[in-house]
Parts: sequence; structure tokens; C-alpha cells
Amino acid sequence: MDVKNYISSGILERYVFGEVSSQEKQEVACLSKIYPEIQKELFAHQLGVEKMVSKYSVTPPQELKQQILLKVSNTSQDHSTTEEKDEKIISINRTNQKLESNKNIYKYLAAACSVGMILLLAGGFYLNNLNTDLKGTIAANDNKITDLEGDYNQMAATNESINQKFEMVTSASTSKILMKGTENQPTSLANVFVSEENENVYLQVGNLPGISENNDYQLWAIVDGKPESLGVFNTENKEELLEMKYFPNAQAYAVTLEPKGGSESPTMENMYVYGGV
Amino acid sequence: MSENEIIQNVASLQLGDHVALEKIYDNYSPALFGLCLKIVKDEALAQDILQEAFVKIWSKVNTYDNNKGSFFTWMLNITRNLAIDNYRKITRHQTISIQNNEKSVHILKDDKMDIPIHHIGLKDLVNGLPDEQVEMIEYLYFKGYTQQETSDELNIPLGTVKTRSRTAIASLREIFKLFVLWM
Repeated sequence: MDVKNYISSGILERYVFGEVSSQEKQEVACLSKIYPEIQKELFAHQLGVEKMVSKYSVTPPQELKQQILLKVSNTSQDHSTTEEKDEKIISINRTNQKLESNKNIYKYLAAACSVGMILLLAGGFYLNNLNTDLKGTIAANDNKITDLEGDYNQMAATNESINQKFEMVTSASTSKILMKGTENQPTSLANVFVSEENENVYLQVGNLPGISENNDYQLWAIVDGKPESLGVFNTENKEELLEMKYFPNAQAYAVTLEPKGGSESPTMENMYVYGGV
Repeated sequence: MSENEIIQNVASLQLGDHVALEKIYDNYSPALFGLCLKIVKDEALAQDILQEAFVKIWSKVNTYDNNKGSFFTWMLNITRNLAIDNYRKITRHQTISIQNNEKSVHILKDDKMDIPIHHIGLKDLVNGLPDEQVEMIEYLYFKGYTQQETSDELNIPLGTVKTRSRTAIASLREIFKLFVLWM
């Protein structure tokens, strides 16, 4: 502490004139105990005032002395050594209030911190959930894309085969054989597309009656009066162009109803359609 | 009373010795009574205050702390505070009468001017101080005004009051030194 600065601050003069707060009063008393220079200065000020006041001395009337001594003898002494209790209590309270308000600040800080932590945790939890959700959505979308790719590939393949069949059907080298219903099955109708060049045979089911699970239709090629099996089929996919076996130099084609899996030779009474080349 | 005598008497006083109080009374009552008169300017009231002061000196002697100053200063402070409290009660009454009677304002002002001259014991002491410093001591010490109140009352800047009051105290110390030399 700068003692000289303190002495020249004017507080000691105010102290001597009694114009200090109780806090300043304690401050001066305390500092003058610690710093002899301050105490020396303070006492010198007080001595000046003492001497000045002494110059105004007036001896009080003689009877006043007895009156005062009597009054004092009837007065008990206060044995407390604390001066101006009230002020000290106030200053202690002030310190307590400060501590209290500091405590309050820490309370608020702690509360603010825990609220902040909760918000952070909640925010983190929310973001984590959001992330998981998004991951799930992305995985689902990936699956969909895979599915659609599969579908696309399938469709592309289907399209490819359809194109091939269309090209074959519309090719100049392909001949279309109409197979008309027999006397027993006048409404039945089927077509065969034959490409001698590519050695392909396709069957188009036009109108054939539905059959039981125990039966199959069988396509026959008639070559030099003899029937040759070109495979079995059913009517599940009526719209499709069914690829059958090829047999060269056929003069006619026919479809018969046979037991499941087909027969060695056609059952003539169960012939549904027939067409010559 | 020598410094040793004072210390002994204070110690006895703190133990409840009435003889010690009588010695203190004999030694200091003129200064304390003079102070009362200087502040309240009323003989009867000054006597009441002196009695009140000694009762307090007697009952509160255990709170005296020689680190804070001499026992005389401690007694002066007790007496001064009681006297100023009483002085303020009086001036409050006078302020009310001022409102009713314009003349009383002048009477009061004249009164104020008279008092220092009345009670100055050793004129050479105060004469050694410039008027402005005497005025500061009058307001700050005897009337118990704050520096701000003094500034307002005398219509001079607060800074000037601060400077003058410090100079006044310094002067008191110097005059005291001279006084000791004369003794």
C-alpha cells in the first residue's frame, strides 16, 4: 500500500472532523495500527484539534461537578469493548450480504451450467436420433434403388426378348402358320411362327380352352406324314410368344391335349387346332 | 496531567474507580464544557450536555481503544457528537421561527458572527489562522457540517472546501508546535 498516497488522500482530515462513514472509520483505525506513519499523522492531526479546543476552555460551575459525579455513581458501566455495536453489525451484515450474493452467483452459474449440459445432451440425443433415422431412410432408399434396378434389368431383358421376338415375327424370312380349330374345337385358334433361316419356332396361343393341372397341350410338327413333338405348354401365359423346339421341313403343325408331360405320339381324337404350311 | 497519569486513570476508570473519574473531570471538564458552549451557545444546555457526556465517558470507557487516538480526543468526540446533535435540534426550531419572522433571520446571522469572538480563549491562536481556515474549522468541526454542506452553505466549490480544511488542520498542527516552543 502507498502510505503517502493514503495520507495525502484527505481521509485523515475528514476522520478528525468526524466526516467518515463507519466503514472508513474502521479502515483508518485498522490502517493506523498497521502503518506507524499513518498513526503518527493521525495523532498529530488530533493533537492539533485538542490544543485548539483547549483554547476555548471554560470552567463549569462548581455545583455541576457534584451533580455529575452523583449522576455517574448511579450509572453502571458497560463492559462491552465493542464500540458502536450497531455499525459493526451492519458492516458484518454487509460482508455477509456480499458472500451471500456471491453464493447466489455461484448458484445461478451452477444452475445455468446444468441447464446448458441438459440442453447439450438433449441436442446430442436428438441429433443422434436424427442421424439414425436418416441412415435408415438412406438404407431403405438404397434397397428401393436396388429393387428398381432389378426391375429395370428384368424389364430391359423382357424388352430385349420382346424385341427379338418382334424382329423374328416381322422378319421376311419368317412364315406364319395359322392353326384353325378342328371339328370338335371349332372356336380354337393358335399360330406358329417358323424361321427356317434361324431354326426357330414360336407358338402364339390364340384361343385354347383352359386345362386342368393333369394335362398339357403338346405341339407337333408333321414331317413326311409323321408327327414330331415340339414340346408341351399350357395356357397360363396366353399373351406370350412361346419358344418351342425346331424341326426342319415340317409340312403341318398341330396341337393336341395330352396327359401332363406330353406323349410319345399324339392322341388324334384330342387334336384342337391344325394348320398346314 | 502527564501521559502516565492519564494511562493510569483510564485503567482505573475501566475498573470502575470513581476517584479516577473525578481526576479526569477536574482535568478535562473545562475543555469539554468550553466545547459544549462553543457548539450550542447556551449555558444551561451546555451543562446538560456535559453531564450526558461524562455519563457516557464513564459507562463506555471500556470501548476506548488507544490505537485510535488519545483519551482526550476520545472524550472530545463523545462530547462533540452530543453537542452537535443538540445544536441541530435547536437550529431546526430556529428554522421554523425564521419562516415566521424575517427579523429573526438577521438576529440569528448576527448571533453566528458574535459567537467565535465570545468564546475564543486565546485569540492569538485563531488569529494566527487566515479567516477562511477559521471558517472551515467553524463549519466542519464545531457545526459538524459535511464538506458538501459547507460548500453549499458558503457557496464555494467542494474542491476549495477540501483544500482549505486540509490546510486548516495543517495550520493547527504548526501553531501547536509553536505553542509548545513558547511554553
